[in-house]
Amino acid sequence: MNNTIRLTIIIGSFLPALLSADDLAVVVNKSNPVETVTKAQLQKMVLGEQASWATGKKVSVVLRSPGQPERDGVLRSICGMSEDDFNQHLMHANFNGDTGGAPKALSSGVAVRQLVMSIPGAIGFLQQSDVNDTVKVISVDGVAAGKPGYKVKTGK
Amino acid sequence: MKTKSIREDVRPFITGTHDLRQLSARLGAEVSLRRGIKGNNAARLLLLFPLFLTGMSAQPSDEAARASVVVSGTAAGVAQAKDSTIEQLLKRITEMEVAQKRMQDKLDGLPAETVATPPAAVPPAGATAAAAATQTAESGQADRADVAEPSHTLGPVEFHGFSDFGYGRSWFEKRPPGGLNGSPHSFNIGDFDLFTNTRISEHWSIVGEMLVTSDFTNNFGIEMDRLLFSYKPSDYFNISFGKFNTALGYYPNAFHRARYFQTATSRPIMYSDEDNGGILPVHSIGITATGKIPSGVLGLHWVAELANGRSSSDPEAPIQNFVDEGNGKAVNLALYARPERLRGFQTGFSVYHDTMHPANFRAIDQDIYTGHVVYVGSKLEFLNEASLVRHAIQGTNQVFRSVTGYSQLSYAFGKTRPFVRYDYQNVPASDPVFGLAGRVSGPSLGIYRHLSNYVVLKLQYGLFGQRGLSSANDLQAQLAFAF
Repeated sequence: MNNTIRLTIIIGSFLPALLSADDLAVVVNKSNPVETVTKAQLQKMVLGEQASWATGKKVSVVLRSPGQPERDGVLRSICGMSEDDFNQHLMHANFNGDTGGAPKALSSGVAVRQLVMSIPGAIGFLQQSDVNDTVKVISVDGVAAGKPGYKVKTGK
Repeated sequence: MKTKSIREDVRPFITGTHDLRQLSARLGAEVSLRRGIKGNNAARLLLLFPLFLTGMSAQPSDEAARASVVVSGTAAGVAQAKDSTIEQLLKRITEMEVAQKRMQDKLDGLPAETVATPPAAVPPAGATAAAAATQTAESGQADRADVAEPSHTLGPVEFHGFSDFGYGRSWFEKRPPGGLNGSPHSFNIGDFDLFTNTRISEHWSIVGEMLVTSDFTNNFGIEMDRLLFSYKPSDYFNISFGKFNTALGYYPNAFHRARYFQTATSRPIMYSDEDNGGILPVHSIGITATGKIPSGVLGLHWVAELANGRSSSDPEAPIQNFVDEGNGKAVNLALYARPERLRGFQTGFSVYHDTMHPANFRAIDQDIYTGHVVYVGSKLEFLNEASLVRHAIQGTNQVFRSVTGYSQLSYAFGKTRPFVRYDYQNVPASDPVFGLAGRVSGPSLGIYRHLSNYVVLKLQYGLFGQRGLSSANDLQAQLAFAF
């Protein structure tokens, strides 16, 4: 086996991990029967335009605090918005009478996971290292986190 | 995974099919290894239950566990000791359900993100509370004092505000009797708009918008622009009671009175307030219901409204806040679409009907047909709306039709957004209700500049022609802000 082949194998082994390192896992409460959502649905949930799941449970979106890469990633990759854009949107939605749609903001990934674990209708976004079996990871547009084509990425 | 395997081991125990010694030996060994405790079988059994309870708290599917317990409760020959254990487990599950309900209530009670505050690295106060509450829930140690609290407590109530400061003279402010004509080079303060949107309970909320305004009299006045008590059980049905902006088109319910959100310095002529000479009933007092229609990618929504309608006997008080001059009610039905794949696009139409009763005149049937096609993206904004107002005098063949509408186009280049708008309104002079409004039309163009978070500056020039009058131009500057 020459060096080129070895290098190809090494790169091939690590490339998926490198590519998926910035994937954000979308997690829901384990009682939620949903297995996959579309990016459009995620956008509606984050922007407060979809207030309930198909089961009737109220959607509770849980994000990280402003300035955290998970939050920036959600806003960028799902909503196509900056933090300022998002604040404008929330203020405008609030002014138009929408209530309860604004996401909760928590200071750590552990807190996000704990809240998602506790609330039946909660949905959150976690670095894959923060995921454990107390929450359920769902796919986006049928693609699981870590797989090619996954669309929910962490910010910088 | 460890928790799951322990649960599997415990399941035969609670279903009465276990080998107690074997089970306790296995679990006791696991616990002893994990915690560095080497005890006898009794000690292992003592460790078994907390371990099981920990497993329960980490596994939200309590229904399945409870179902297993119920099944075990009906099994014949279950020992009394096991019954006692089952009772304890059921009690514990019930406590956990209460704790979960408490968590949901706490979450519902958390304030939404502080939307009017510039982004900061510091987490909102609500976030800290949520995290603390969550940690309590995960550990399964529900605070008894918290559990004893009512499911919802009022507050906190947040007020936001909008206002503006301008230079020039607004074309669309009607000059009241005795008011000053004044200089077109006037400094002026706009509406001081205090606004709250507060949840009362899981499904109930209140929206209040109060204005402190000044006009050509140079006096202040206070008016309630919106007051809505809303019940919102689902995405498909929301109902509100109070004073609201009639769902005739897009603009009034997208921007309301806050000039901060509007690209131009003021509303289109089409949506001028009733007491400023507007011909549409932009305010209503009554009931409004709305919701989504299951329609897939079309994103259809419905609106139905029942309201007092507009006064036709007192032009100085056209909005019937407290008493309706007639028994009949105005009805408005609207349908609009927000296609999922074309975010920012919205199109729809509405049909409004009322019967007006001018003093010393026959009753007049009023029908208003309004359509809109708008696109509001992060850069491009393209608004198009038009209404046909039809007045038919009852008992005669006399029908009068008025048209009003506008088209507005803007595009953002970074923080600067140039815009242009064309307004058109034509009311026949013979119209028995709005004949004096006449025809007004003309272009406006200007620049909107985002100065900083929640502060915008606008410069606008307008050239308007009015039937029977010479055309006039207007230059306005406006500093609008939110707080």
